[in-house]
Amino acid sequence: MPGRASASRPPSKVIGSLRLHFHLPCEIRFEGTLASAMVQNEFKHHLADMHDRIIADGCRVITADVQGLQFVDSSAIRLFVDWISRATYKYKIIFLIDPGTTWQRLSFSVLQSMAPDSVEVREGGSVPVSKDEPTT
Amino acid sequence: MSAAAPFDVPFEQTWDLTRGSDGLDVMRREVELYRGFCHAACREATTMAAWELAENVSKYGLDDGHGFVGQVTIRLAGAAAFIRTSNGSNAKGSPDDAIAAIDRIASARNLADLYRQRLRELFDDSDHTHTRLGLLRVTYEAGFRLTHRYDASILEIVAQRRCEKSR
Repeated sequence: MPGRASASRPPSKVIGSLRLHFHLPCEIRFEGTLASAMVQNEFKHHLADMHDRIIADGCRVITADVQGLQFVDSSAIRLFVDWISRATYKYKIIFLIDPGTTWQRLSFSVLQSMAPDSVEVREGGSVPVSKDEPTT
Repeated sequence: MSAAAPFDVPFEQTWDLTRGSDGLDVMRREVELYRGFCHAACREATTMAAWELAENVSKYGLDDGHGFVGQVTIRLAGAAAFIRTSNGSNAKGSPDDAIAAIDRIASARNLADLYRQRLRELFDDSDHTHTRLGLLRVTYEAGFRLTHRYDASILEIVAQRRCEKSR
């Protein structure tokens, strides 16, 4: 079925202090920290695979739950910029944030203002979107 | 604990830094574990600002030949948080970029606009190898004020902010 996670794709991936969960179609949940150069370098490579899978799965909207992302540095912000650049005109990214975490509230709102057609920010607890949700 | 002095138990610690970010996690955990923070926002802000500033030292500080590139000191006392970094810096590893960035931040009318402008530059040019977002995060996201001093080839940066009981 289009949009279902493939049986061969592991539901989680651990990259050092970062954990990525792919339990639901068109949804990625981030946990941990994204601050060390090693983790960022590996995540950067994984981002390309992630992007290809999102497109292969037919997701027009991808939900990125970052509420569990406790700590990132400025180089990690750059990786989100890169992801958004890849996604532009291909799919929309909805970032689910923890509004009580200042860096999430401020950084992702600025990212949204940079690419309003490609990025939406929602506070945690919002209803997850399906891949069929209109992008506008 | 008085409303004006959330850090009733002062905290001051200095970490020596080497090239790379291996020691930064230890620093981050020690700051996060400090029980004197009265509000999560101040803990989060101080932790992030310390990391960004220390990471800059570990990246750009001059190696003294024994692996030492600089220091970061965090002091939490009264109702204020201070972070001080110092590292060797000469014409080759010029401090001019950092000094110019701090001056630009200090004179900015709207930090969000400056942050947005930098992100736009990264969007538009994927070849930017240095994000140069760290100092902006320290000020815009973490709410610190930055000052700098460069003397005898030592660059010192001080970040400070108030940490009230409410935030």
